[in-house]
Amino acid sequence: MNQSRRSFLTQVGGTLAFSLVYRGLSAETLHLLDDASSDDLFRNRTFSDLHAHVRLNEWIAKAGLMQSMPGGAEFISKQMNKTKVDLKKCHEAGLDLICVAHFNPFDEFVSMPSDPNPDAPRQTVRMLDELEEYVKNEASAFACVVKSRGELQERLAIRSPDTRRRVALIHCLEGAHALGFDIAPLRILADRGVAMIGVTHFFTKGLASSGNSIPFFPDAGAPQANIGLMERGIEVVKEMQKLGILIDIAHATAPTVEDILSISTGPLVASHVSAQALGDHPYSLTDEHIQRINERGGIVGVILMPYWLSNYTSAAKADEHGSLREVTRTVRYIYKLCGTHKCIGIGSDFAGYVTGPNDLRELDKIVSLTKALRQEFRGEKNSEEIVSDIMAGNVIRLFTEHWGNA
Amino acid sequence: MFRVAQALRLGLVVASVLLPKPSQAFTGEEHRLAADSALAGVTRECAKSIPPNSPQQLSHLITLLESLPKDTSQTFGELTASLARVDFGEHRFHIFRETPLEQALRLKSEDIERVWRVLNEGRELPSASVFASEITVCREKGVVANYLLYHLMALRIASLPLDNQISITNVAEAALSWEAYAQGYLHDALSAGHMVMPWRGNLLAPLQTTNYKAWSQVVSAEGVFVLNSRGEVWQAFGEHLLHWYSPHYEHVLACSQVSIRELVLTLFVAHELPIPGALTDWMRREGILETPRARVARWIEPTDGETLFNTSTPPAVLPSLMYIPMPISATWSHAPILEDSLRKSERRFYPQLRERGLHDPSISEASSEFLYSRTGVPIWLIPPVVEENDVVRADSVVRFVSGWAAVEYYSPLSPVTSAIGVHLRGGVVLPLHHEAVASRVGAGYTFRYKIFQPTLDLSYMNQLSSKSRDLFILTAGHDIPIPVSYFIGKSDGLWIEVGGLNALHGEHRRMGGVLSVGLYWNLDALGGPGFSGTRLRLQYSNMQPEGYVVHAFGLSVSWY
Repeated sequence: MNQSRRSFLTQVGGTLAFSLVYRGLSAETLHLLDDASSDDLFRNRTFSDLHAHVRLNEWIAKAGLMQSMPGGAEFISKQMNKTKVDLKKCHEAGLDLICVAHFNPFDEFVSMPSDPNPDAPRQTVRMLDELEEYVKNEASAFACVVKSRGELQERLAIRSPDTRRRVALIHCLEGAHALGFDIAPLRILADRGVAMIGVTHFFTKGLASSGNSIPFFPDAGAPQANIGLMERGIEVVKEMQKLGILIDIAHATAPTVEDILSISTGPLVASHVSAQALGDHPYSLTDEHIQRINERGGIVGVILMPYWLSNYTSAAKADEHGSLREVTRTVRYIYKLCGTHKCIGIGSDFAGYVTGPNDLRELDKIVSLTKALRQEFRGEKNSEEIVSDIMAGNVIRLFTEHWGNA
Repeated sequence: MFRVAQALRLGLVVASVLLPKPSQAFTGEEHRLAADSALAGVTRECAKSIPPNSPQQLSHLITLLESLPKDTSQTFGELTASLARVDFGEHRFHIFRETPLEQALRLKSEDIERVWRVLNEGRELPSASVFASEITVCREKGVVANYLLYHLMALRIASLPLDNQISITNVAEAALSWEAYAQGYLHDALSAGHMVMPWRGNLLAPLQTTNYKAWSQVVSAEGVFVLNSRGEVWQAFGEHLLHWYSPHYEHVLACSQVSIRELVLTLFVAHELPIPGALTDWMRREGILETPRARVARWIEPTDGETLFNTSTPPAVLPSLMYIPMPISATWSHAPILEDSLRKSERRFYPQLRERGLHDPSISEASSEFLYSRTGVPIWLIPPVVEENDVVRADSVVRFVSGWAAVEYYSPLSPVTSAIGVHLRGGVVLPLHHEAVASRVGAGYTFRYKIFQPTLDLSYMNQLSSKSRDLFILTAGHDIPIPVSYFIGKSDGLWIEVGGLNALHGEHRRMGGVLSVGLYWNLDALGGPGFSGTRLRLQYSNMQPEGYVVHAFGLSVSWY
């Protein structure tokens, strides 16, 4: 057994042990579930985010390249990562749940654009460790990592003003290239509590074709073979289904989505996407796919990035003009298209080097989106329920009902 | 005299180097390829669908078309490129904020007849190479009117009767050479840079050529969202990018081919040749229900832009008009509800219009500034679900009516200024520990070399202190466009300048040094036809005139 494999297994083992201890501690909250009906888990919630990069800045700052540049990481995180996720402030703002998207740019770009990186699984586990250590050491007063559906239910049952309330964090991966072209790490990651994996990200990586999603690199300039799900991609999707890991189709092109729909069953998630009718990009979902995700009981998470939600010739223009108005219009469009709000969620993609709406750049200020949605759905018979479900209820229902369903 | 001539010549050389030319619609090679590809596509589809038992003359003519025109020893595409790539006049640009219909309406029947009379004055067939560049009746009427004029001339020439002197080959040659010129205009009408640029024909233009070019470059490279009268939306680009983005190229090619099909159909109909199946299929696809003969008659009879567009029922009498796009900021998008198993549907787009009830009432300010009037679009581009003055209905389409979406587009529709080129500067200098406030005025030039944009400035500063003299300052500077927001709001970047200064008077007239660092803010472009921009600079300067040191703060404004 070589050094890196031993190190990898040691990390996995250590984290599993931590997880078991953590589960034992959290058992004390079980009684709260007995008193609450399942509906209570979804009602009167503040916000559940289907996709946010809680620790991406810190991960980049720890890279060797960044450490050799004094002030470089700080400059990049302040000047380039315009949207912010501060867990302490999110806790104060009453956020319920954040799906933490783990994305390692160094893994994805180091062997760009198509080759898988065999070192990726080890790095992926390091990212999970990094988040858990951060939560344990620095954020334990306002956040906790949940690793199963049961734990999530327990945590969500604790509400304000109970001081034990925490923002629940769920491990998710953005791009199955993080598996290193292998399906074996999936079981390890499922045991580590990874709830959802995006099949593809910026590049094909031997798994599935992805739509261009780099705004400063126009769609026209990013031609990639659009061949849908590849052989290893099919294996990954099937294995994820076996292990009860939710499938995230964000970043997938239409043929990829079509393939995933045809080989999978149960709900699919599009964690941070837009509607092609309003924002015509290969990244956006077609009307047909939005409807089929709804029919399968899945969720379409609307990204809080106006560039994708509308049609801009440059990211700078989206930065200037993009606002929450585009978010509410997309939500309204999906509602109109599907005839229900039950398939709609929000996937902010904040702190993921995206340009958010010019009137919302910090996740803890998400109440401004709630207000905008209330305004959009004013006059509807059940407007409060619609807004509450879109902001949080639908996402919570997804994870509490479908996470871990093999 | 000789010295004056030499100085003038030197001045012209310097000006030709320093003053950049405006952007082309497409490069010459792009023009050539698009035109030659379009012609080859049409002739091939015709050759494949010749009706059985057709006279040999037909296939001979189709083969001939591929190698025409011969009179200039250039290919069809080369002829198209030869004029389009060197001509930047206003007739090659869309009229800013006018739809293709509004521009087509500018072409009056008297314009067409006047040109036709000139062409028919001689006994020989009118050659495009002789007449085309001389036609000036529509110069100020924009690219759509000019395309129509040249294209109609091609159609009329194609339908000229034959006699002992004039064979069908002669007619085809002459008609195709006119169509080559028309194709140049058509390509310009489809180029992003020629769609949103107000033509620079104003008195201040020579001073702002660089800003004009900057905007043109941004529009060409960033692209602009456009809508044509067929209800298709795409992102159009400019020079060097025609083949980069396939949806744009496909629209340019389709438009060129339709124009050529109109010409070829006219040629076959007028000379009573059998119509290839490809052309009748194309007429059916365009929704033309008349016979080829009836439709061609409407093209070559006395007509005008309004008749050719026929705004009451689709399609336009001249189908190529349906393919000419206009920049768009907001549309109504409709996906028909289909019941087939794949549920695939093509969206059809309608422009949101300026009148109440015809646009989404919650449209953004930026989008609402660029809406066209109802009178600017044919009736088939007004969506059936909205009605003028019925704002509630428009709102309900956005919020409730399934299959419909209100879509917005953000393109570079406002001027973009550039610091490249000539600029004038003026400002004040506040020396620390000295009693006087000095003023500084000058002029400079900013070059572009790869990613660098060095500036050379020559300025005059009056008496800096009681000890100093008036100074001439020669500096080289460079901006660093990284926004800085630590001290006084958010600046657009940093500025650094080094150079030398020299006293104008005095006994010693020793050379001194100057070093300046500071922040700059690009103020909004002044807009309008001037394309000018201003830059405000706040800087600290360390000057050493005549051997002593002066620390000073300066505030200056550059106009470029």
